[in-house]
Amino acid sequence: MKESDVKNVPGGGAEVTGGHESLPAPAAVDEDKDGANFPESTAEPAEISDSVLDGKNMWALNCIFCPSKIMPAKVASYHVEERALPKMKQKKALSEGLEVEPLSRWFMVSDVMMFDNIGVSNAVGDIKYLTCADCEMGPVGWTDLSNKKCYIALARVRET
Amino acid sequence: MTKAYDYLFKLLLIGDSGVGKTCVLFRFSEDAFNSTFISTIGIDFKIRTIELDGKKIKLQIWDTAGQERFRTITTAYYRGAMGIMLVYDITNEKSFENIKNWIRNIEEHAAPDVQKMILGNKCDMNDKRAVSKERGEQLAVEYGIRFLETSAKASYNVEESFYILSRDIKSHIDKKLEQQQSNSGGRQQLNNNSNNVVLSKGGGRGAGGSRG
Repeated sequence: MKESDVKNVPGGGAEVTGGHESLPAPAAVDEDKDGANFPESTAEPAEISDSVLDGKNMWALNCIFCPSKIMPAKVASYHVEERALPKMKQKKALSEGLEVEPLSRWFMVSDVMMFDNIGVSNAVGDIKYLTCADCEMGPVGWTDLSNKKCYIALARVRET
Repeated sequence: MTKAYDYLFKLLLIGDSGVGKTCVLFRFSEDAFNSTFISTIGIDFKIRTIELDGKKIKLQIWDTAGQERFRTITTAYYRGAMGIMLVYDITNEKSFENIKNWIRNIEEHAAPDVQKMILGNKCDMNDKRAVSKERGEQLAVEYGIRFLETSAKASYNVEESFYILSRDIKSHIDKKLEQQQSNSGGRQQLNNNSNNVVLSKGGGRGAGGSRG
C-alpha cells in the first residue's frame, strides 16, 4: 500500500478514486470483539426495547456532538448485523492501518433522502460513509452504493 | 406512510478557495468536528431538510472541496444544479473580483435558468474588510441576482440565505409547472422531461396536484 495515496484526497467527485481503495469497507466481523471502550460511541445497549418500537426507531436520531437532527422518529427499520465501522478518531495515521469498531445495531433507510440532515462521504470501494451534516462528526453509518440502503449506528447517535 | 419530501433542490457552493464555502455548511459551530477518518476521505454532498409554505424541501448541497483551485469545475459538476451560492470573502478583494469569472463559468456550463445568489462571507471580520457592502450589492444588481452578507462564524444570515435561494427555486419551478400546464391545455402532465425535475415522491401526482 502506498502511503501517499491515502493522503491524496480528491474532492467532490462521486467516482471511486484510487487513493481510497486501500481503505477497507466495513466488513462482516467474526472476531476481534473487544469493543469495550470506545469513548466516541455510546455503548450499544443490552436492551433495545427503549429504542425500537414496531421495528422502527422510537426516537428522533441526533448527532452526539452537536444539535443536528439526523432523522425523525419512526422512519428507519431496526437492523441487526455485525459490521466494523471506522473509529471517528483514528489514533494512528491511516496508512498504518484503519482502526475499526465492531457494531451490530443499526437503523436502516432505503434512501439517503429519508434523512433530515446527513453528510455523505466520497466513495470508498462500493460504499460511502455517513456523517453529521453540521459538524461532520462521523462516520455515524454507511450507505451501500449497490442498493442505496443507508445504515445508522445506534451507538453513534443521540436519541431524543 | 409519510412522504419523504415534496421537492428536491440541488445546490452548489461556488467561489475561490478559502472564502468559507465549507464553513457555510456548519450550523452549530465554526469548525468541523475533527474526525480524522472523514476529513481524509472527504465529503461528497450533504442533505438538508427545510420547510417552505408547508412543503418539505430536501436540499442536496455540493461543495467544490478544493476543485476550484484547479479550475476544473465544468459541466459535470453543474449538471442538474438548480441553485448556486456564489461565495466571496469580504476581507479578500480578489475573491470578490473573481465572482464575475465564476458567473461566466456558470453561464458557460450550468442550466440557463439556474437560480443564483451572492454571499459576502466573513462579515464578522469588519476590521479587515476589503470589499464594502455597497460594492457587493452593486455587483448583485448588475447581474440581477440576490445578495447577502453572511458570517458562518457568527451564524449570521447563513440559514436565511439558503431559505431565500430555495424560495427562488421553488417559485421558478412552480411558475414553470403552471406554464407547462397551460401549454398542455389544462391537461395534467408529469414534469419528468426537463433538467429541473420536481420530485414529488410519495405524493405521486402530476403537476396539477403538487401545487397544494
